[in-house]
Amino acid sequence: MTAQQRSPMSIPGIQSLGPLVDRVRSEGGQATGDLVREMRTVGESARASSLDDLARLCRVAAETIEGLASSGAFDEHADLVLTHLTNLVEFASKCDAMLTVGGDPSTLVPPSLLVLQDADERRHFAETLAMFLSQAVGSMQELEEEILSLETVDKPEETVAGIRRSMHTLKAEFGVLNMNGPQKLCHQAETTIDACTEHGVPFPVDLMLQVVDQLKTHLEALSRDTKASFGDITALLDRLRAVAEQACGGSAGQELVKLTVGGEFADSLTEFVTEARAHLTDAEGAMVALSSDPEDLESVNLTFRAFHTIKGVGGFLNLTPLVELAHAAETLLDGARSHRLTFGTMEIDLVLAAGDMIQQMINSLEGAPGPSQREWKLLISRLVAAAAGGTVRQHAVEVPSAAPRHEAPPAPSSPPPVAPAAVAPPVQEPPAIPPKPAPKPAPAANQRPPAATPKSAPAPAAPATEGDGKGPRVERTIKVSTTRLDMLVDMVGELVIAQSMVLQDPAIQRLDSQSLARNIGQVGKITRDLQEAAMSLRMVTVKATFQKMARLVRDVAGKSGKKVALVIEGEETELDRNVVEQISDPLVHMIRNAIDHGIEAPDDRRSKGKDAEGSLSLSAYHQGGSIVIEIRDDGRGLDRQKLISKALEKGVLPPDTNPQAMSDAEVYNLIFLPGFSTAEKVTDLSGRGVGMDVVRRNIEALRGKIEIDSRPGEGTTFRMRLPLTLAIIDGMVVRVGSNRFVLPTLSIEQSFRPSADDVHHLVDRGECVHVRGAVLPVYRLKDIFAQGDGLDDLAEGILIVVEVDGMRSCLFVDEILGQQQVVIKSLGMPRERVTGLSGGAIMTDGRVALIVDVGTLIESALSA
Amino acid sequence: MTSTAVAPNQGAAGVFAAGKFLSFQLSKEEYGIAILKVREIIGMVDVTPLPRTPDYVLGVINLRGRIIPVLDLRRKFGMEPAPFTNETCIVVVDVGKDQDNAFRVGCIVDTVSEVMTIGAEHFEPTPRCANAAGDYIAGLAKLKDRVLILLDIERVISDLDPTLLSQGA
Repeated sequence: MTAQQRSPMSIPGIQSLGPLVDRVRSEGGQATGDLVREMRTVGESARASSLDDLARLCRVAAETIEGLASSGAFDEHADLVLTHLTNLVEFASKCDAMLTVGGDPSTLVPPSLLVLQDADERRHFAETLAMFLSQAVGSMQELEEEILSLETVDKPEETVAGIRRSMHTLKAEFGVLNMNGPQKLCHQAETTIDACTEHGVPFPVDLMLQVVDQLKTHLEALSRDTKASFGDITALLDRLRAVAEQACGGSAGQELVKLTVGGEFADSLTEFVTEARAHLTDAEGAMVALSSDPEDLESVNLTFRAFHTIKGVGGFLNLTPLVELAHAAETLLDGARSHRLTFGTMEIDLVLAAGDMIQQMINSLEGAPGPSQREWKLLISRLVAAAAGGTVRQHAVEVPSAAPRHEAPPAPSSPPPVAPAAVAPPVQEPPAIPPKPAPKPAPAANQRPPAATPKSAPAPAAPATEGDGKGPRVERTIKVSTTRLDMLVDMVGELVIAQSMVLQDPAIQRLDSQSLARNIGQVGKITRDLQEAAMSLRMVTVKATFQKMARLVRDVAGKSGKKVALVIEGEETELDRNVVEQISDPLVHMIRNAIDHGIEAPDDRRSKGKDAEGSLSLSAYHQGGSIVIEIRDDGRGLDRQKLISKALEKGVLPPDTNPQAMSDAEVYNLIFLPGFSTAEKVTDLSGRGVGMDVVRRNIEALRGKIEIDSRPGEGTTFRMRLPLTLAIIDGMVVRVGSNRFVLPTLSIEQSFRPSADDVHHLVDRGECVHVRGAVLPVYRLKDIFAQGDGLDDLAEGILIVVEVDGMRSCLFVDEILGQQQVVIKSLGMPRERVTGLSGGAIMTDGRVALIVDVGTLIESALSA
Repeated sequence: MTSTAVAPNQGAAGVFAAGKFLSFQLSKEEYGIAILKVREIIGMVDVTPLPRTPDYVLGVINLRGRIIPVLDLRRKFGMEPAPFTNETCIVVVDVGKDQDNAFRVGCIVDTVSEVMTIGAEHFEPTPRCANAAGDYIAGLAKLKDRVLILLDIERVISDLDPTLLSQGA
């Protein structure tokens, strides 16, 4: 499909471009009509021959000239336009010439796009350029050092990865500045680095240094003259390509699908990535919904739109392989939409696989490895075959037959890893890349669940030539680094403290002024609002995580041969971003366990009089300042007896344990012990006894808690109680002597003042106290933290009952001062973690109070 | 703690480049630390004692929203404790390999005196002495009318975290 098909067809119309340009040159703006028409024709045929660079150049030029002519401003910009056109025509004929001799025109370096700049834009461009230059010179230096250090460094992989990232960044920056030559060079360098890394070929140090030199020279030239032209890099590009091909060696088809970001919207890549991910999540959710209700056309529509939008926006960014895949998936979905196909498991699996691969490709834009060419081709052909239904066309089967596991299919000779045309899918119509950027974003946005938070709907930027933004407005978002957010939150925390210090300053309180009091009150209110707003910046919904679980449920249920219906509630609940990221793993383990161990096989269920389909519910809700995430199944429940006997057998419980004395919670908590599993056999799903241990660790790392409720035969509920954010905890402020400590409310059960009768001294075992029938050990914070001036008599102070790992104990303090939320800060000690303390909090008087880590505190008291 | 970049006894000039030093009083002696390590000087504030740390770690303070430990240099050097006065200061220093990972710590001194420029010609090697502070002295600076003890503050702090030095501070 490459050279053979292209070589005979030189691009029609190219020859006539030159004379038309000359005519415009002599006659001015009135004569542009023909040129624009011809330009479009050339552009389209270029597109058909996969000459993406040329196609884009022609399209942009045609649009710009047309715009200029219609607004009568052509003559004003005539010089610029004509110079550009001359370059364009020259490039076009080069491409044409290349085609006729059977070469690959994608190796040519295209001229820059035609960009008209008014004074403002020019200034903006100059500023951007200046900023870029100042950074780039530094990063070139670093890059050079890194490359040189490769010869001495221990772990070249990391350095190579660093170099590759730098290259990638440079590429993107050149792209933003519309400097095609350097962009292309960086891209090829990146490709070559990849190829070398992947195939274990030593890093081509000399060659890369040449690349750096070339770029450096150009940067220097640019700093003198912003219009400096990029030197001739054809030779360098050829050498890079040769190295890459050599590295790939005979392993054609193994190489990864490469995405080249290009096009005039390259700088909107980050938005694309974010949005595409959101779309994929939606699509995945919809597909899972569809699998439970095959008649659910709305889900099909939603997925169709998701893929369609990804395809459209991907098209602007010239992500051809991605576009082709999205297109294939879309075609398949269209079959379902038009009732030509019924969507069964196979089709859903295919669409899900397409979603996964697109996800992988998107990840590859950020540096992760992409899918291999072969996987990509295979998937597309399967999608196409499925879309064609029973009447599989001859050529559609050809590719799958080439896919079996043994050696690669006859790959195109000299495989340019970048040329997507070489692996174009056997779809009848050419991948329909919409010529006009407007893949109906509006309906897609409307159809989203209304509560979807400000994640902006896909807003393909309006064509560069008409930037006044007509059409529906979408909420704008920007990306901000989390460190900056944290800094903001920190500073707001400071403000809150400073404000209350001012408020409590005796000098202020002596002033008897109503207006002052009012103003201070106002400042206080604004401060609190500000704090809330700052905190909310970090909050995201659990929706994405929950939808991932929907997918997991479907897969695990399929694997274990069970039927499970998943009910999701409260997916709009918001949590701190860090927390959301870290609950994913525990959820995976718990859901796997619930399905594998909890829910019975369909026959089993029927014989017990239950619905053959098990039900699993995943819900999130607020409860008393924390977030609860609940996983409830209606399976067989935990078997108390079995757990105890297993624990005795494994020696987890001492042999003299009296099972009757153990509370249900204590028994259930056994499953969190490492290596504890009641599964008779280890499956690939679960049973190794690692999972629940991980669950508990992760949740504790988040300062959360997990509880289990279970009824034999009726099911099990896991309840994770998590803090809203990691930065703030609810604390009980207590006093011991002259110092204050903060105890996390989460670990506190109750507090009381003991009467002398309740306290018992055990020989060699310290003190204990009777609390509602239980005997609990007493630890004195005064002794543990050496607070000499604390109270000694238990009856004068307060005992606080805390629970850690299902073990209850009492902490003795002088007094409870109150309850408040505190921002956790590091103590600034070099070795972090002082035993028994988890950090410090700055109190409203500006002083520091220490936050007690009850777990390590008791541990250390026990070992002392 | 053998042969790191900081080697206190191999001739003072090898340790401290000539430059500006902050001088401060501790008991009867005058000490100096390189001004580049000093971040700021604040008056004495409320210190929250930090249990389970060496006794010379007096506790932690709130330095504009950041919690930092403060060290009592008198106690560290085995001197008689003295009550805090209006003159008592906390010298906040940054130690560590780079700005981003700097370990910030406050050192309590009796009083700070001045910032002075000391030329290389004034440096003297450390005499061998039995003072507990001996390990932490990088050299002496002989001035017209007095002697300044140049403190190797990184060594003082590396007692809390030995990795500070091995990472090539």
